[in-house]
Amino acid sequence: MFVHLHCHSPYSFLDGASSIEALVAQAAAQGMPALALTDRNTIAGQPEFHRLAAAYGVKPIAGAELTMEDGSQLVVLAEHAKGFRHLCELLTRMHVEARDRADPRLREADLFERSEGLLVLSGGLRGFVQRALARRAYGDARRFVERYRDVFGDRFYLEWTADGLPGCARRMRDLLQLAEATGVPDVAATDVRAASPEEVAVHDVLTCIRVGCHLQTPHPERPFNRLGYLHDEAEARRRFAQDPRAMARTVEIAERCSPVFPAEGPLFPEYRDASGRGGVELLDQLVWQGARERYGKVSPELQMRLEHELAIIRDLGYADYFLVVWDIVRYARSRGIRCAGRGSAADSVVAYCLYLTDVDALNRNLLFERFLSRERAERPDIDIDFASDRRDEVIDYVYRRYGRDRVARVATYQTFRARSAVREVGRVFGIPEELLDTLAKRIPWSTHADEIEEALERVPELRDFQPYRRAFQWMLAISRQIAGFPRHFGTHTGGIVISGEPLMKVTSLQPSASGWLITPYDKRLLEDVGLVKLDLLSLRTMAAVEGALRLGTARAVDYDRIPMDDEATFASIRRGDTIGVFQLESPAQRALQVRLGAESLEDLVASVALIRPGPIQGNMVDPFLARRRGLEPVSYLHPKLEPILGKTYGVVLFQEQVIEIATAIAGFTPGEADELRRVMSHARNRAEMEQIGERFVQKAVRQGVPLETAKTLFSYIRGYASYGFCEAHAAAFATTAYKTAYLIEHHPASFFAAVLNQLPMGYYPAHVICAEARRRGVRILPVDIQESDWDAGVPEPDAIRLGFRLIRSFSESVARALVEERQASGPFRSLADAVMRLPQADALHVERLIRAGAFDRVETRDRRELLWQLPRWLALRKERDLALFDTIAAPGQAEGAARLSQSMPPMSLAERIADEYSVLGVGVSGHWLSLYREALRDEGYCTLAEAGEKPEGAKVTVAGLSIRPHRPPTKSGKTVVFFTLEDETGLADAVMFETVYRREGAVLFTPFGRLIGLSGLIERRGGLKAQIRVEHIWTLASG
Amino acid sequence: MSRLVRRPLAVLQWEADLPRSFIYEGQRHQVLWVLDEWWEMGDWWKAGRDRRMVRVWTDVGACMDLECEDGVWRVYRVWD
Repeated sequence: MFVHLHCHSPYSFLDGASSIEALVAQAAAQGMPALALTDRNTIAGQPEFHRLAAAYGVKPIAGAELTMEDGSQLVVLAEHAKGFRHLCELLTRMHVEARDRADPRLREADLFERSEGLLVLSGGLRGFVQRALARRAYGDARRFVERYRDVFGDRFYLEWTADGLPGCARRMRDLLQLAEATGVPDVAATDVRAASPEEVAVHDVLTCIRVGCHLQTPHPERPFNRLGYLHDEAEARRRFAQDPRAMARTVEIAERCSPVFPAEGPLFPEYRDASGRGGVELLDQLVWQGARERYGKVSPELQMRLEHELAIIRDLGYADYFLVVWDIVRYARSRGIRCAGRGSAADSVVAYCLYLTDVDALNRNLLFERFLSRERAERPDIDIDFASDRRDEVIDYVYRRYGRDRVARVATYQTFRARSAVREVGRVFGIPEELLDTLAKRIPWSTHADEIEEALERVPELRDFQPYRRAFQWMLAISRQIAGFPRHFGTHTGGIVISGEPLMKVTSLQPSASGWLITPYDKRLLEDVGLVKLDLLSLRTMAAVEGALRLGTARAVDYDRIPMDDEATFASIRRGDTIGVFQLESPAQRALQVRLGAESLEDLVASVALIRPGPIQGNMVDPFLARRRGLEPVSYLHPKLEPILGKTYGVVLFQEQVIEIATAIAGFTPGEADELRRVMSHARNRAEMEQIGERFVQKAVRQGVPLETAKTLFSYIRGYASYGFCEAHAAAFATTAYKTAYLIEHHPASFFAAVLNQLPMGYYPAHVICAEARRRGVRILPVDIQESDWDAGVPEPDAIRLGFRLIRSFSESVARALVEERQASGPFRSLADAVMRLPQADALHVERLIRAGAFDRVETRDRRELLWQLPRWLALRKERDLALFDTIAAPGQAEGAARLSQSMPPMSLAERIADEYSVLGVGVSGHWLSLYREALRDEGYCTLAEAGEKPEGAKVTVAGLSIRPHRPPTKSGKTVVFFTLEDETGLADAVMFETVYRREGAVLFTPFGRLIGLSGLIERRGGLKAQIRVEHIWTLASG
Repeated sequence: MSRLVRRPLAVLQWEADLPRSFIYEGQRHQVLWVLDEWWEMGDWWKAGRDRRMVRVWTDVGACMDLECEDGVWRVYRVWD
């Protein structure tokens, strides 16, 4: 019997070539009773490892390979929970105290101090012992071994690695002698980097990426042979024939170690308020009090519902969880930080009464069991959106309130996707960087690393790369194998864990780039560990709302009391005028609004749920619209569906409905229904989906449903997969959507100024937001040295003054200094005056101010002339020759300036606009298209405003800037491209179908697709707003 | 100093899976000691083969590296 005790997964970051599942599956296939996972300086893979090991019947041993101060490495295994805690503490100390975040080191004294419960293996060729033996420093090796033996006793082993490297035989001979001489047992080990010999090639490529070399370049870190794989017992016998006891010890060690997850006992904290109250009693009190506030009086129906929810919460032991979330939300509200719950928590009336969500689950008839049920007994998951600019204040509070050793942010892992794989793997194969860059930029963003080959076949803009297929062969093969491997470690946007006990009982912590302490576990696996995650999300829309309420006319608005039936708001939504509206601003949503004709919040709830990949691929949008308008009868595949799908006209729109169908039609138990929900939320797992589909059909037939009906119904469910919203979530989003639409309709300057202050947010860049604001009658005032602040402001009810923050790479501290100086010493007289009074502004800042037009009002001189003068003024400022400076600073008086103005033509309108787009992202002197309008007219182009007036079916030729071209999934699998065009008269949406896209539309996804011309037909699809169906498209860019 | 030769040899006698005696360039060699043994990965991206290497000391006082690729043994290098 043999057990691998030194094994790396992809969590060793470019030092492990096989997934954890591949490693565990291989160990199971070889009949190994146990397996250790020892990634370098991390335990990130342990939750996944423990879960998979349990599934494959292999005992998991938790460990890590630790880098010591001298750069050597040791393998440390956790004997039991206490040992694992020590390992977590050691890792935390290494990471927190690391000088270089990428290269943490452990002090030997720290390891010795926390030795209890840890087994130590001396490491392979990277370990101190073998390194010393390789350089024939036997004495050094012996002293090291004796030191560790004295501390760890029978928990220290010499790692005998038959690594097949030159000198291995001698090294191992010496190692066995050392074992004999010191009495420290040797243990057989292979430093595993791959599940099979073939995958060592993947390890080779990953190592090249890690050390930054080509395959042609020798490097000591690269694998020298293929022996570092997860071999079987027979191979182990061959390798370690010299000392069979060394193999037997692997099993002894495995028997000494116990799995460390899930942790014993509950980890979530008990909530107590200042007077010591907590638990069910406090929760009850808060809920009934909230119910009276929310509903006025407690009706029998409400009482029954609340009692039902509270009983489940109490039985499952989640009162503290609700109280903690309530405490956090209460803190935010008390500080005026806008927040709202999202996700399935909005299915709960308790959550509504605690003010965690704003969705009335009772009156919406939402199912509490979708959120929490006795059968599933899974931990609740409440996600709260906070205004993005103040969310960190809330997280700070959580740290203070619950203890810095008990709270941590959650990790997120960026994995290899197509673009990153092409760049990094391609470079290793020596493919020219320029070619890789062009290819990577053209691959659709969402493409996975194992789909590149398919994309080369399918995507027209990748057609140019067909001749390179042979050269790409290995790059594609390796990319396929590393798809989904973690590449970079970061902080999850909102995930946070709170524990009642020190977190290091179950996890190490490491600082993020911004200083937060993070658990290395991925959020999906926290539950396996026993930790509970809260999502305290940062939503820019919330910050934009908050900002809008402080600007212009919106200051008078009470956001919480916005009337939910404002006709002007609904009329605007029905026209598709929803640019800037939360969740409703994409071209697909705008097109939907025109056809849907929303009249109430319910319609917006449906809208939010409709434009999702699930309903689109399931072909549910058109039937929903036709049935809602009475153009087609509402029909049900089975009578049992009527009560479930009645409110959505027989169409499956919400996740809850899928679960209800499974229960009603196939008689799924709550456990089975939950399994279906889990499979749906991992839609890429086709095998599991097929399996559960067979069960659905079998059980449905047993319940008397005809076979074909059952199959058709499951095809709906499969098509819907994970890409739909639950109704509660859609309702929460729809509420925010409506309120932002209200603000835009009645206070456009306030809201759009606030949006400009939160960019990047939503769907559109600054120039589109400004175009829409102008269309609504708001004037866009340029950045002005005398008037602007860091943020955009609303100086008049119908005007937005752009802020310095819009200027690319402009520092906030410089902007603040500028404003302070202006307030303290009065307006700036000229550019030179500003340069003199603002020592914080370097050449780049002043140049960008000039190019943005910030000095246009105070300077009579042209922008070009100012740019030419700038270096001289900056030099003078440096010399602090104030007297001379004053002389030159006077506008129009400088001798040099006079000469320049005579010899240099002023900046043309085109140059000014180009500069503004480049520096600000929006043209304030005019629009690109206005420059060419005359020539365009001569060639038969009309403006977008004129096109919008044309009748259905009219043929138009237009030109504009293309905005956000995208290709959403479709039921047929064919490509449909949606994009928006912008010219000096406004915006228009366009749609391009597969044939045109394949023939000439790929240009949209290349650098030449920014400024385009197109011809097509006007379509209105049941509404008033025109959309252009593209027939031909071409670039207007000169290249 | 050493010379890279990469020439074929004829194995006369085996011990386990290693040549015990062989003829190289007309001269018979008897392996006295295997000094070292290792495995190398070939240039896999160019269809290069993996190989096993052994360093031997023979009865005629020669030190050589023998390589085995796809079951074929060759003298890879001769040491002075």
